[in-house]
Amino acid sequence: MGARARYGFVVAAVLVAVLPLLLSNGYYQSVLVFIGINAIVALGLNLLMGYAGQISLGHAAFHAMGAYASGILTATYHVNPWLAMACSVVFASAVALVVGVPTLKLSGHYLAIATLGVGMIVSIVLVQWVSLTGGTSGLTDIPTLSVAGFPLNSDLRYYYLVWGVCLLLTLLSINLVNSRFGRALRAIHVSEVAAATCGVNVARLKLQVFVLSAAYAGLAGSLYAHYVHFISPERRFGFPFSIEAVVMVVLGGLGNIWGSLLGSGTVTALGEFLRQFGDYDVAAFGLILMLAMIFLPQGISGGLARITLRRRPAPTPAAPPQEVAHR
Amino acid sequence: MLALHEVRKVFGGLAAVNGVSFAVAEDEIKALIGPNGAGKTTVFNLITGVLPLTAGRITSGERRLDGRPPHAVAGCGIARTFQNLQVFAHMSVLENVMVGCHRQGRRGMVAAALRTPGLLAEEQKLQAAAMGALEFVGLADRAPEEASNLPFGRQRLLELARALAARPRLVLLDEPAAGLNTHETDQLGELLRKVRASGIALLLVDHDMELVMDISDEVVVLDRGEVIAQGPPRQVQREARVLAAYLGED
Amino acid sequence: MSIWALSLQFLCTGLTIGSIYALIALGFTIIYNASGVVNFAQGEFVMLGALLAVTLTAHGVPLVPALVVSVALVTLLGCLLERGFIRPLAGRPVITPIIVTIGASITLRGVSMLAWGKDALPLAPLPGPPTVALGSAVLQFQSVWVLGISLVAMVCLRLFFDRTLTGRAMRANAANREGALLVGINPGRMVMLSFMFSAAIGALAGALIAPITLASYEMGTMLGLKGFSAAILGGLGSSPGAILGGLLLGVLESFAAGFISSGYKDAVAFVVLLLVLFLRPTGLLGARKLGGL
Repeated sequence: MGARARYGFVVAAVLVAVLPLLLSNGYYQSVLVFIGINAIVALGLNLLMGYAGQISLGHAAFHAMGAYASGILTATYHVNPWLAMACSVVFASAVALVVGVPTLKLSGHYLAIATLGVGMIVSIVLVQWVSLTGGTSGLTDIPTLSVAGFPLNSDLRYYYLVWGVCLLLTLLSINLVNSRFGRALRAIHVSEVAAATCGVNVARLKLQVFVLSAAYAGLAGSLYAHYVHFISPERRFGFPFSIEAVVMVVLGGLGNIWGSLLGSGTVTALGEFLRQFGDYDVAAFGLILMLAMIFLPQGISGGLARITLRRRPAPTPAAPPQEVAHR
Repeated sequence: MLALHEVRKVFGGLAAVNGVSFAVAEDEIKALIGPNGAGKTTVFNLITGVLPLTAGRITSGERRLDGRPPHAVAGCGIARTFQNLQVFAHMSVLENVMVGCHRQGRRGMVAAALRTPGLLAEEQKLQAAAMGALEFVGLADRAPEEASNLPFGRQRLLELARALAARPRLVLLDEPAAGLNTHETDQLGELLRKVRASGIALLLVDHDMELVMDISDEVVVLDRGEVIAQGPPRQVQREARVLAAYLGED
Repeated sequence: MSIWALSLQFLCTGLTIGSIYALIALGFTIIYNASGVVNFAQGEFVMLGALLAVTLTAHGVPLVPALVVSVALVTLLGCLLERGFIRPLAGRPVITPIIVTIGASITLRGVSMLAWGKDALPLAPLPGPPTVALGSAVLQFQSVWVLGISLVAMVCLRLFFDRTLTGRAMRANAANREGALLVGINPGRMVMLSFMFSAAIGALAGALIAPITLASYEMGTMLGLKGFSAAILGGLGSSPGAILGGLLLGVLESFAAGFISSGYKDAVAFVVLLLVLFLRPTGLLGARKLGGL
């Protein structure tokens, strides 16, 4: 990991540690918790979309699987919450594995639509399979997480849990991206054929990163369930959240790890901010989304990079003139 | 090293490659030439597993290559460069070549995420191998630059370095001289001889006849999907059928 | 009721909703062929066609003129959408227009929610008796209008694309952009026209179905997604495919709802979608091999 990334990580860790003490209002702390949970989803999705260059418009499905698996295991079957969390991550990953094999053979629009279809089917099942999921009434009484008898039942405590996990996953993601695995992913993004001729098993890697991104989303779902103690198949577990997740990644900056955190923060905070305008929030969100896509093609992190780059001295001139190529 | 046996490829009724047979020996530089549309790039795609064969066999020593996916063909020691340059644009020159070393690594996702000592050791090894390939082609000083910033001729060298980093026994070169000026083409010829001297066979497709005649040991001439001549460059040059294919019947 | 009687009923309702899916699918196909963009806001054109018709008739405009004006207004909207938000996206990666059209869909839905509220609103059906009997099946008479007008619309579209200069220009542009440019066809204009046509068809579909299903700000989402599934089923890029896919999907959905479970009815479209994508992505009438996208 380069010195700059290490530096950035330390800054982020300090910020995370200190922020809730500055914003001691319970409401702000809970927003920060949601930002952290969303950031975990965005991190995983960024690996899939920004690095490997695939598309998923159905990631809410894996998020839902994590939440519901945890919820059902703990509320209905009284399994230990940490064990349930592990199980739900495995469950989300397993489903991603099964779904991923046929889906990742597609690309572009077809892949986007296939993932959308998967997401829609899952959200319909959540509503219809009432005996398992509680249908539209949802699942209640999801227990709190405790660490060695110490219950995480305040916003502040949960904040540190979620952000601890988030920072850990950020670190793991940075490591992943700067490794042989990460280089192969980025190569696949540019040219699957060229990557394959270098010996990269393209199909297997795409599947691996797809499953990994589902695992991230599932873990986030589990954390969500144990925070809000009640889950139901509304916006959070359907197409709207799949889109929110994609927006977080794209707005934050595809292919930039920190962008996922930025994007998650922006979108979540924006959502909360717009809520005060009552029913105007949906229309405003859509409009902001369209404008951002048009005017910020590299996302916020790209925009920031452009601003900071402008301050650097001009780069050294290119190779001497006799190397001009002609056809 | 590589042998094609009666290879056929049919696209919707049209045989793009029709009963092509030839072989490339170790330490040989062989050229595949022919007018446009003769099927040369198709042959490359068939060898590397990008396209499936309609009929015939492709072997490397005892092993059959046809039917394997591209990454498995790469694993049999066959590397390739592309006519239309498939450089990984936003990665550094060094990282591009390190992708070429992909098969020399074993550590997977978990080790990468945790940055285990084993992974770090492997990264050192891969980096050294990649730098070696860059030094061989003369790009070592550009290692940290972004690949898309390189001038066109250098990007061609980068693709070659990436192919060499895979420690292949055969490199397929698809129009390596396209877009290069005379000076660069001469340098390329020198470099290719150097590659062959290091024990790697070459199969190249190119339209630059000077280069082809200069460095090839043997030339295979393709026309409309069929081999119409095979042999040393000077001999093939004089064959009537070859002239007819290029210049048209009188 | 006997199985045959039930089946006939389901077939009729299936064909009715299927015609709507077919129109929506045609809308997707026209835009996709012209520009390579999948317009995720297609469903909202349907919704707006319905809701505008509701408002106009509520203000005393007679039904048929209201429908015409509603379609015209949505057509204008389609033009504005393309000019304002799709045109600037030339050369961007595939994901960008996907998100922008999704954003448009969200915005339109949000605005409609503000303008019309969250209730489902009724729209007067086109003239005729309340119901009609076809053998043992009983249908709302509006279904006959839906089938009839959809058929007329499809025929008109076909004639337009086959016989008129503009229509042929649009097809030329879709088949070979560079070639079309060389003969003087303006691709930007073709794309704009494609958006306008799709908006018009969508609005028409909405106005036709609203008397049966009621109109609300959220009716567009599912209709759009199902219409898109129908387009994929028939083969993305194929107009006859869109029609076939729409009708087939409508019938499949109707039978599934009737014989299996009405709760899972919505899932039918997506299961069909996935099956098509996994087994034969080019759809029923699409080209044999998937081209690059």
